[in-house]
Amino acid sequence: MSIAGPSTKPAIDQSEVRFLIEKNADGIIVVDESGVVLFANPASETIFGRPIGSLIGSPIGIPFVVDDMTEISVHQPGARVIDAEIRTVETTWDGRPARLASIRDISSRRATEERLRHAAKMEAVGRLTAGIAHDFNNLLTVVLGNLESAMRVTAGADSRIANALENAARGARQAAQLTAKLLSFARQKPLEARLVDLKELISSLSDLLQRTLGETIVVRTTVAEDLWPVEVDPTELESAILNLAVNARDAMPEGGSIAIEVTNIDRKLADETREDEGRLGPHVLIAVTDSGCGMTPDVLSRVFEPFFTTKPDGRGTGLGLSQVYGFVRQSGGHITLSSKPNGGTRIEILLPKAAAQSDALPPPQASKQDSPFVLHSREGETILVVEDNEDVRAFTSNSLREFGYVVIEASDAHSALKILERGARVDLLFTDLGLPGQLTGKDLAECARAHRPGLKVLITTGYAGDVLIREGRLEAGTRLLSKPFSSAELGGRVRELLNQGNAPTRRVLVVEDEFLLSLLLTDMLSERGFVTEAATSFEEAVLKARSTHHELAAAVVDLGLPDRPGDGLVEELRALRSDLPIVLTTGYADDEIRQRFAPAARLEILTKPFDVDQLIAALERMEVHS
Amino acid sequence: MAAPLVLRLYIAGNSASSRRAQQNLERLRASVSSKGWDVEIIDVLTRPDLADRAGIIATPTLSYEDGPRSRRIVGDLSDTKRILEFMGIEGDHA
Repeated sequence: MSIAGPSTKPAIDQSEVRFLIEKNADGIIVVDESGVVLFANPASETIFGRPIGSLIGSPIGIPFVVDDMTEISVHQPGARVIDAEIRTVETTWDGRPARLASIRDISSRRATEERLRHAAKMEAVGRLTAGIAHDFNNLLTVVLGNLESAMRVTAGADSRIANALENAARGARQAAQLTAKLLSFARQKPLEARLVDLKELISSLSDLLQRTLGETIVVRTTVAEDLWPVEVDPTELESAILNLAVNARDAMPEGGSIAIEVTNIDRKLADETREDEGRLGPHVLIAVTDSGCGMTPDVLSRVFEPFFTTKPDGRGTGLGLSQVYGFVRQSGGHITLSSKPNGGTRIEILLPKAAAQSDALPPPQASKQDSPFVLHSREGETILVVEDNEDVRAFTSNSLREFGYVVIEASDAHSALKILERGARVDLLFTDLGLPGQLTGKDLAECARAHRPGLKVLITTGYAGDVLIREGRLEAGTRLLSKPFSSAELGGRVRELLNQGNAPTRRVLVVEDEFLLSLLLTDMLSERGFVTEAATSFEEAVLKARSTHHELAAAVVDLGLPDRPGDGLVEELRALRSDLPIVLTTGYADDEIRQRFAPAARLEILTKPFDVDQLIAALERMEVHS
Repeated sequence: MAAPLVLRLYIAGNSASSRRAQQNLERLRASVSSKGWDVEIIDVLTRPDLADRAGIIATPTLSYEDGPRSRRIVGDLSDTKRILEFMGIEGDHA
């Protein structure tokens, strides 16, 4: 920049000011005393959406700015409105007083601020909602549980009592549905995510939609080939799409069409001018578009709020879209809604492509509604119930005892762990997620599993806070029962989990002090599909057996152990599990040992050296198959 | 003043600057004897035709029509003193 002026004050070269104005990103205009535009720079064309030629001479008005700047809206042709900041200085133009004004487009900054504000509001409403719903679920568990007990006690008595109880229970169940919806808005509802084939889900859903929405609505479904898998809770996804479809129908009282499109979409940074980095990368897009009455911007800004509804006289709860919003966000996805009055509505759900390897839950084998006849326990099955709310614990324990289970109760994680450490028989841990003290139900489950790998765990919760569910998902191997639950649901879920264990566990305890031999044995067994637990001494073997004896399929025990003889271990193991198949290995083909154990059932003696086939054959003779 | 002064305030829906401009205009009317004023509020979003005809390209715009003369100002009208000057109403406000 040339700071010229031969003698007196320095000044900026006029031509450089001109250059700066031409190149400026802000619109710069000069307005005369009557508000008519005299000059406009190139950036003004973009901001006003008009060529410079038509801007010059138009009567924009005199910009009056107090302090630094004033906000205005710029109206472009085609009803597009831009938020702008305007700054002015007084100047002269052709010797007459005029105003020089700079105009900056702040629409995108505005939009970002608005989104942040909206997100913060939704978050606050969500927390409030979740808190209330959680407390309600505890209360509803008690109400429903006691109503069920009352129904059982009064079965066959006065039908008026039975009716009253049934009505009360129905009311409580409806209340439970309401709290479930609130929680799904608050993103606190535990999701059972698994890999979902969207093609199948959407096409079966579109049949249902066509039938339920009626003849005046045409449902068109377009599903792209080779859709990427997504990991979501399929039930929630179905209900989300159903929700959108019902909204669409209500927006089209005279009939119309709903288009559901599902495609892969992979947004790269370059396509994206906004800061929504979460939307970048591979996603599956589910778009639901209707030809209905659309929404005004005011309505649009509030549609995700719980209890906001435009439907008359209780036709809507105001929770539908809130639920969809919560579900999508919790599933790691995004939802956007665009609509214009009389221009229809389009809702886009973006779900992230699932990683190839997923530890999502496998689909449940049994149907959720088991018949009541199969809810009962098998001999001695023991459940550790951990719940701090006494009423809920009492209801839970009583229900389980009615099904014939042995129930051990604990009110916090600490005492539950003590019970587990004592080595008591526990077939299933049933714990509340929120427990007093340092450990949550999820921590408890992890500690318990460290002691007893493969322990069945059923977690219950009024909501799933952020502790249970990282990103809203259940850890693999944990099952979940949402509060409130009925005693039948509890029994069904417990039975389902315990039944899954009836597939023979193939865990084998290998007790061998020779390091290399132990390595060989565990390798041999692993190759054949067994899971191994290795112990190198009598003591260690007893400890391991105590914590895992429920899952043990067999034990391979060396006779010569460093601390105590292996034959004593056979007795120890049999004391824990009288039917445990045991392979006794010995370097000495000791006749005395053979004779001693010959009559013992489910015991095989292998003389070293032996090979893998002999070991497997010995196991198979005792019906232990890999 | 013989003929009533026609003031038209063009706004855009419920935006913050539109609301401020309306409030400021109300305050202005209250602070001066505004008997001869006729104020018309035009929402550009619902009446784009009127905005179009008047060549409104930014809001809030206050247009002041005094016989054949039409002048307009852009902004949220917070500078009351200068606005009164502009309309030729000298400080009979407090």
